[in-house]
This record gives sequence, C-alpha cells and structure tokens, in this order.
Amino acid sequence: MTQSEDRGTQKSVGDVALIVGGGPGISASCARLFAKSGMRVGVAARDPDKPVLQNLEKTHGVRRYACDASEPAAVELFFQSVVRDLGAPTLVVHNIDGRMLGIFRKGITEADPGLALETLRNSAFSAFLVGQQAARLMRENKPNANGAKGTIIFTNASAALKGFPLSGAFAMACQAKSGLAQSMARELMPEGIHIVSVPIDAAIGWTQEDGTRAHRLAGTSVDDNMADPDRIAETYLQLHRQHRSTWAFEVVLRPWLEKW
Amino acid sequence: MKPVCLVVGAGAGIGGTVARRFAREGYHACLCRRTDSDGLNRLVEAITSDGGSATGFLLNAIEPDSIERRVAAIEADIGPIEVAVYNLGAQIGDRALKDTSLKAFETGWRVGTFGLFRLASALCPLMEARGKGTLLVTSSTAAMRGNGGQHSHAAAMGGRRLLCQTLNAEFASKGIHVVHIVIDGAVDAPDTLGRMLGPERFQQLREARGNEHDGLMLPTEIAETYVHLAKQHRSTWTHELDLRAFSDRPWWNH
Repeated sequence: MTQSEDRGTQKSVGDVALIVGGGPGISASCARLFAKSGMRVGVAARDPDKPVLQNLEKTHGVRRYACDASEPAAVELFFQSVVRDLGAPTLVVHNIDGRMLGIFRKGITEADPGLALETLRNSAFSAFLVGQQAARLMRENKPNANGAKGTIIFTNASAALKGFPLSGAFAMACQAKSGLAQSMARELMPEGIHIVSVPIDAAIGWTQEDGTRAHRLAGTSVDDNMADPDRIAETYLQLHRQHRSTWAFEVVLRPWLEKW
Repeated sequence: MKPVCLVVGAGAGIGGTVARRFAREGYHACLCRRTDSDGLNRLVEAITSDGGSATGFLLNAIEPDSIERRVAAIEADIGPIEVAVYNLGAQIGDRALKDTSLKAFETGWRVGTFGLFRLASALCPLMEARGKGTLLVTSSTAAMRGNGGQHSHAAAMGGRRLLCQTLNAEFASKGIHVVHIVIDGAVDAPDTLGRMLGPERFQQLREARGNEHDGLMLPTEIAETYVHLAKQHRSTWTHELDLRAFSDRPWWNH
C-alpha cells in the first residue's frame, strides 16, 4: 500500500455497493455515481417499485430489493440475496432517515410513544442490523489496493450534532446511530473496515423534473443554499477510496450559506 | 495564468506532498518554509520534473510582515492564490509546565495561531473580492484535547481550530471555504516526526508501524483528501475533518 494515482478518476470495477433506504435524494445520487464509476449497485427499500428506483434500474442497471430494514430476518435475507446476485458488498450506505410522518414537529408532551419507537427502529435499529450484516460479510473480503475490506457509511443529520426542539424522537435516533458508528469504527477499523458517519447539516435539495433543486418543506434551493445530493455522493465515493493510512470517520457536510 | 496554491510550511511531509499534488491539478505551487533551501529546491524540482510548475520561498512566519509581503508578492508576480494551505506545526514535544518557558509558549502561539490569523488577514479580502477561495488548515490532536506536556502546543492548536470556526462564520457565505483538518496520528514525514525522533528511532517506528502496516499516515494519501476538500462544491462543504490511520485510536478514546 504505497503511492496512489489520482483517486478521483479511479474506476471501481469489482466493487459491490449497497444502498439501504432508497428514494430520490442521496440514495439515487449515490446509485448513479457508483454505477458510473464501475460498481455493481443494489438499492433496498420498503417499496422498491417507486418510480425513481425503477428508473435507476433502467438507466444505470441498479438492482432493486424489497427490504424492511428494521426487521432482522429481512435484513439477513436481503444481504444473502445480494451476495448471490452481485457478490459480497464492499461499500454499504445506510441512508434511512426513519421519521414517521406523525412525529414531525411534535413537542415532548405530544409525541406519540409508538411513533417515537418506530422512528428509533427505522433509523438506529436498522443501522445496527445493516451494520451487523455488512460487517459479517466484509470481514471475509480480501483487502483492496487501499488496504480496505470495505466501507460502511451512515448518513446522518444535524440532529446527530445537536438536539433541536420538537424533535426528541429524531434526536434520539440520530445520536444512537452516531454512537453505533463510533463503536463500530473502534471495533472494525483496525480490521480494515472503514466506518464513516456523515451528518448532513442542512436541507437536501434534489433535482426536480424542471431542473431546479428543492426540498419538500424548505422549498426551492437558491444559490446552492441546500445540500446537493449529487455532490454528497462525490464525497461518499472519496471516503470509500481513502487509503487505510488516512481514514476520516466523521464528515459533516453543509452548504456554504448554512450557519453552524 | 495558473491559479496559485500557496503552502506555508512545505517540508518533505504533508506540505511538500500537498503542493505537488495541487501542482498536478494544474495549480502553480508556491512552497514556503523557514529553513533548508536545499530541501526546498528539491521539492520544487520534484514538482517541475513531474510536469508541474512551482516556486520556493524561504519564509519565517514569526517575522513581522513576512507572510503579508509574501502573499502580496505572489499575487502581483505569479497569480491569484485560490488555495492556501497553512501547514506550520508547533509541536515542541512534551514539556512539563516548569519546563515550558514563556518564550516557548509564545512562539507556539505565534506559529500555531497568530500566523494563520495573519495569513487570513492578508488573503481573505483578496479571496472575498474574487468570490472564492480555499484555506486548508492542517491541525493536530492537540487542537481537540490537551494532553500532558502539551501546554504550548494544545493552546496554540486549540486557538487555531476556533480561529478556523470564526473565519468560517464570517467568510463561508462569501465563498471562502476554510477547513480545519485534524491529523490525529503520526505522519510518515522525515522533516517533522523524523527530525523529532532522530533517524534511528524514526526508522524503528517505520518498521514497527509504518511501511506495509499503514499505521503511519502517508502524506500522499493525506494530499488526496486535501484535493478533494478543495474541490468540494459549495452546496456541500466540510469544515472540520479528522484523519487517522485505520489502526489508531481517535483522540476521544485516549
């Protein structure tokens, strides 16, 4: 493991990338970029028939999987299918926000306990299940040219860094996910598995049909004031390509105009 | 005219390697270091024989006006500084409080914090006028926690980190990307670690933890991440980043 030529232009043939949690934002951007750089790519979602995922299959050959990532047996089965179809994963992105609709903007005395628990299950618990399956498989991988057996990336949010009002359930979920990532990093990085936590400290505005970028609640992106998922994907790819002598663990991404 | 990548603190480790990597990206590299013009010339020659362009300068960052004059001269004679790398270290080894002189503490601060402030004061107005610029600041474990014997170093680097935060608060929205990069481990660098340990112990460390073990951080690999940070799109900037070898414990676990 010594010199590296320009990482940015490397091809990643031989890589198998899995994205758990599939929608029009980060997951779709990652799927496109990973496929373009030569990886075999699978995306798992509760509803794999979403138009955006069908489209990814058509345009980029991305394989779709139905999986409720908060169910241990489903996650195990999903990873088995992936190994059979694509091979053992070398890059796994856990990209589930996990919030239930009814939990948004609920104060601590109004939040429904059932929905809070669901949020935790969807987010942190599914991260645990995905991380567990990924680690089991990656341990058996041969180290690549960078000395890595694989990369596991946990997408996270501002709530991983600070607790916001009216967001107790999500704060619990995000901080739990962040603690899991830290613990996994300490256990697995010395074995050659790169663990990364990426809190996105901003609204994400993905490209709409008319070419503008927008967020469901925050509206249209003006002047790059929202995170562009295509650019987030570029950083994910760079993290995956880091050499094991110099790994980043936590990478916060925020737009230039964001206060922090 | 090529854009300029200015590296303050260009030894044979991170500084020189980052300069070379940016030269390969099409920048004219300006390498500054305090001493050893032979070493400086070797770095410049390595870049030019690699097909890049570079100029070397001896620069004492503690001297009044040295940084300011160098920035002005580069802007006038060579080109706009689009990327600046502040890579001066302030590590003087572990020293108990009674062994840390007022002078040593002050020097640490001058190199660790004040030099960056002076560079930013000279450069940010120029970058602001152009609406863009990148300031990559190499930093260390001591920026995150004060370990025994690190009085001077930790205070200087802690100041460096918080200075980066306040620079970002003022200049991010003006298009200037400031990144504080914590190098949380030993770097395979002959001019810094090598000099501190002496050739024999440095070689032993390389054999025990470096080379094929990848337990010493490789400047060529650090440079890859520096280039990535400079290329990040403004919709998704990273402002603080830790890098460490896979086998190392992070600063918060020590």
